[in-house]
Amino acid sequence: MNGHPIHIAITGLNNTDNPGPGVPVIRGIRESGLDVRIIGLAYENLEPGIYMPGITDKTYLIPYPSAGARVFLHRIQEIHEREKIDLIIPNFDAELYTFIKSEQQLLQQGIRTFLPSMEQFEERSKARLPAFGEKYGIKVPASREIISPADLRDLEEDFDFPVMVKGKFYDAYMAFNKEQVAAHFNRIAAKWGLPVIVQEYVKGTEVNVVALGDGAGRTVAAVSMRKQYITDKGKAWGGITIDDPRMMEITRDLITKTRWKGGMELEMIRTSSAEYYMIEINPRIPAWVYLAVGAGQNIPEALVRLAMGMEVPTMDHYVTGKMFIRYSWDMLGDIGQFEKITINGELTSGT
Amino acid sequence: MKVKSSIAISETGFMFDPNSGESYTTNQVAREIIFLMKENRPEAEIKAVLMEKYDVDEVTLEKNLIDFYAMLRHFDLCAEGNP
Repeated sequence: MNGHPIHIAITGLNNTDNPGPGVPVIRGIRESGLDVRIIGLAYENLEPGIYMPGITDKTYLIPYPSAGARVFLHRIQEIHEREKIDLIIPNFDAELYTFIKSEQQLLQQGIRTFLPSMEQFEERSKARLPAFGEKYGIKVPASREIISPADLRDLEEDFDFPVMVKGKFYDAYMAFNKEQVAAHFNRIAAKWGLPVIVQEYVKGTEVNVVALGDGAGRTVAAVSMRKQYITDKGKAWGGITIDDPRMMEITRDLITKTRWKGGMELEMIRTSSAEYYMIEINPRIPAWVYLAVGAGQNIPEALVRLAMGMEVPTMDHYVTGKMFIRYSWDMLGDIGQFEKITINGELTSGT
Repeated sequence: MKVKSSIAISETGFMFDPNSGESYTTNQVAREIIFLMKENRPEAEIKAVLMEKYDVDEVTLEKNLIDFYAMLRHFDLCAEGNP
């Protein structure tokens, strides 16, 4: 902007077997040719994106949102004073609440975001998915919020086994009986808090869409993908772009009706009778977004341009049959880097 | 029966369904049949081509073709049409 690089702060640098979207989002932005300075925001001092060459220009440690919004925003303010952040792209469900709530406060300081409204964010939550499906005419699996083990008492009356047991932000396990549901409930509740959601299991093929809404009802970009290789955590380790007109229709219809603003991921099950069930709507760009970039739709770039008030044409086409395969790679670092991020809470790339 | 126009098949017999994301490998005979189907050849003509080329009796060929077409249908690779 005005000859100066756009300073973009990005979270989700945990490129692990449960990857955050930060690194692929940065790759997309870097490859766009936009003049940018990338400021990584990391929660843990061993997030791989901190150390990966060519990803961030500088990375800062930040406190978890669970430390409280005041502490969290104070740290963002500190970083802003040094980095003059133009735009923050948060990539975790758990931090979105704080960022959405603080949108105006951040904007007053000159920090832009491009996020859904609080209403949009909350109405698509897993716990409210049945009402969401009814409101927007989308098939969703039956589900129930579980607050305590007592809520499991009459589960068999409403559900056939197996069922899916899901955390409000992350984690999903299949359970074949009530005892397994109870075990998963305890594990998920301890990690992600309440409620835990029990969801009807729909048999079929999982297909996903990454999309970007401009906040006025336009689908700026959308790419659909089928997972080819799934880890034991349920994460895509390999995937391929597909051409599914019905999925695209559902996506565009949803963005038009909700006037969704920002990135989103729709997770659907396509049954053998070609019915589509929405199982989750993630209110952010997913970790597999680099596949969309490779297929011809640079969604991270488009998000930056929209956030900065630039015109972005609608992207209608992408290449089908484009694949991604994740891999692990032993990257070497130096104890000095670890020392800097741990003691100073910051690390400049290449030092 | 026709193979869906969206189905891509390479010279090596590797098939890709861009709608489902599924891919398939085919042997030489299957590849030949699919190429003939892609040319919209009727089933009787496909049978005649195979009878001419391979040492096979009509009943065995017919039985195998029925199985093969059923498999294509099962994998949703066909658009119903001119047999």
